[in-house]
Amino acid sequence: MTYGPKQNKILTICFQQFLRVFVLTLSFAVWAFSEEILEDDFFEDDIELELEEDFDHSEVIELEGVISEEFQGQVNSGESAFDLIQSSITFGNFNSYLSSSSSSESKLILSMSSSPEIAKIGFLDISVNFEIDSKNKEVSNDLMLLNIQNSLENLRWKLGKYRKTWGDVDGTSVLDVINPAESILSQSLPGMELSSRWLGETSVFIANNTSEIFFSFNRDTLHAVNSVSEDSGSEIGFKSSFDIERGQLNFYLGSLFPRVGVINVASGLSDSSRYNLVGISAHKEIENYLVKFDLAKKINLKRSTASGLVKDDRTDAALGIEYAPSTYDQLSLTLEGSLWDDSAGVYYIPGSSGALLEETESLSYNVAYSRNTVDEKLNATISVGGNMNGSSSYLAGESTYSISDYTKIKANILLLEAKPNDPSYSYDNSKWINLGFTRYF
Amino acid sequence: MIKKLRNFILLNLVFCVFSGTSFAKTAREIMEMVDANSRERNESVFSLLKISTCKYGIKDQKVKCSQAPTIKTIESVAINTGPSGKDNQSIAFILEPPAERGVGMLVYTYDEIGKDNETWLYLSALGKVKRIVSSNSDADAEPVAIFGSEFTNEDQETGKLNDYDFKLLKEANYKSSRVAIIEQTPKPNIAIKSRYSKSLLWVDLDKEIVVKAKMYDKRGAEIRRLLVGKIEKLNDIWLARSTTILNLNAKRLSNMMLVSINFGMEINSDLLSKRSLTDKAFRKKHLDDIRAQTE
Repeated sequence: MTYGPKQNKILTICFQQFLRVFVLTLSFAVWAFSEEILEDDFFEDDIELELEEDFDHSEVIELEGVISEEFQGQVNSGESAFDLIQSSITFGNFNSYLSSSSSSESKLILSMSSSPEIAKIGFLDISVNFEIDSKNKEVSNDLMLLNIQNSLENLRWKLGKYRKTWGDVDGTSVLDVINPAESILSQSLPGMELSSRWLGETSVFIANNTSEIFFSFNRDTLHAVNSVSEDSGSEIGFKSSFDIERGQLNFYLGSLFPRVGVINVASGLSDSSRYNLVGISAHKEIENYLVKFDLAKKINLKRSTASGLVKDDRTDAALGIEYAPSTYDQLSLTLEGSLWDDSAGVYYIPGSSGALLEETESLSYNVAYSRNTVDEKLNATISVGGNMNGSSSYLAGESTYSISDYTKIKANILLLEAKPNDPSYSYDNSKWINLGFTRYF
Repeated sequence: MIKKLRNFILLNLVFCVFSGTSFAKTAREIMEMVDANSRERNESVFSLLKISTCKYGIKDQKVKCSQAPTIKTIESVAINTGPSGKDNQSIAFILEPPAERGVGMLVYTYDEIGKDNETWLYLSALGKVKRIVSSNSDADAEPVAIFGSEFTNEDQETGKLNDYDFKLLKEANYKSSRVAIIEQTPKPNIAIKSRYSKSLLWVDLDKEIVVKAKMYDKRGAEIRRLLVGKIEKLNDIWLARSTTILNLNAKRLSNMMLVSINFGMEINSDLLSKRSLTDKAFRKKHLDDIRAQTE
């Protein structure tokens, strides 16, 4: 169904009115709920003021008394709050201002999740998003999580759709190569559930060592253009972790497929071929610094020459340092680099206006500062980053504000600049601004 | 005359002995009793806490929340460890509010001076256990707030009596109990880390717990006050079910309500591990074992 400009305007007004009523309704609910807590539960036995009489500190008004509450007896009965269905509703407004175009889209997302225990089988985690957007006005659903896990003695298994994270350095792709690649254009708000995939895994816990092996039945590759690869092909990976003094050391082995297809500049088709991975990562707390690194050798990756795809090996590495100058502030620095084995050949990657020469080595950086307010109501992060050769740079920020325990406002912004020799040049001078409002039930 | 004086002194000594045995105790000895009692409260404990935090105002001589309080319900297991039982390991899970449900935190605290505590947080969105970089060992660092409340690790610390000097100011009656009012002053090595220049502690001499405290900043102004209530004896241990801390500068208070507590549980130390943060079945099995002991 399509709408004319007038109908669109009416729909927009209706949508805005709905939002106002929705916000007012929620605000009233929050206020009413607050009053209930304030009067009935929290200060059931009011605190009385009294003046010190028997001690020489009478200049300070004595706030005396006891905040009381009805005891609930043995609440730890085994019935868990996790057994309940949890839900939230998010209204988001997503705006992009690209050099060539701009767009604005609103979405209403109902998220429902539950973690029931299924007798003798294990614990089920299920999470589904129902979404309606202002463009196509159709309800779509997305299964975010569906997995079951259980354990016996030192063994644990997990099967289903979930997110699996490898590596220690957050936000880099040296070892975090299992989940689908998130595009820079993915319209997401802070705290929203990230994409997951169908996997199975078994873990063994022995003293200070944890070893796990995972498998997937299908590759999960994002292709920007038509693909020559089939969707079938299983993946397998192994990770072994050892606790060390104030840190952890991890080893990795994998037979995987890339999350983003490699484009053959000769044919214009995308390819996803198996490669092998050997890696190591660690983190260690030194004084007030948390130092992390990831290192991986990726064997038999594909690269494009002028005539077709060839295999080559690449070494990826990342270093991360976190420092907390106070309880509420955190600074982090991340460096991520890659080095192809073959530095003599000429290779190409697609650019916005034809093929670009692929650099043998690359290095990128990210510097971020996060701050939480003392009451944890406001959390904000600002970061700058880009390629060390100056071909691209960005400024990003995100913030979450808790109006109450049940209501949060979220926002994020990304400003990107890129030069013609950068693959993301088509997004030069672009910005993305997203705003959201989430109510938890 | 000398005989009269001797009899007077003897009489006074006898009076002192029988009128208040506590006077025989020094401030340090009283605090050692409080500390021992505190350690007993933290030994193999399974508890359910409700921490409420709000801005407050005073109206009609009553302290009132001026905004809706933030309420967090937390299930916690703790054991004392280390060679002299002075280290502590605890694991806690937020049950409420919904937005934070499932957040798990594992904390190892060490009595040894210079050894920083260790904290791990389970990030459910990433399916990852993350080590939290410690920030409280710098001289000018702020203490760690507990789940965003006014309670900080500095207010919750037990032990480390050697870090403080204690002075018994006087004995008095407070809420129909006999209390000792003790001045606690941090020693120079701790003073540079602490926000407090001193604290005044009202110690119930029978129950061996702190029933009130006033904390003063470096300029000598009172900045925080601790009040306890609902004092009960459970398993021969006196404890306060309700503890309130008032930040007099920020006009913000937090109340920690002990909804339920069980002492002396048989707790498998495996539960106090990173595995418990990710492995639901493992965690449930161990928690069920503990719950079975409470029935």
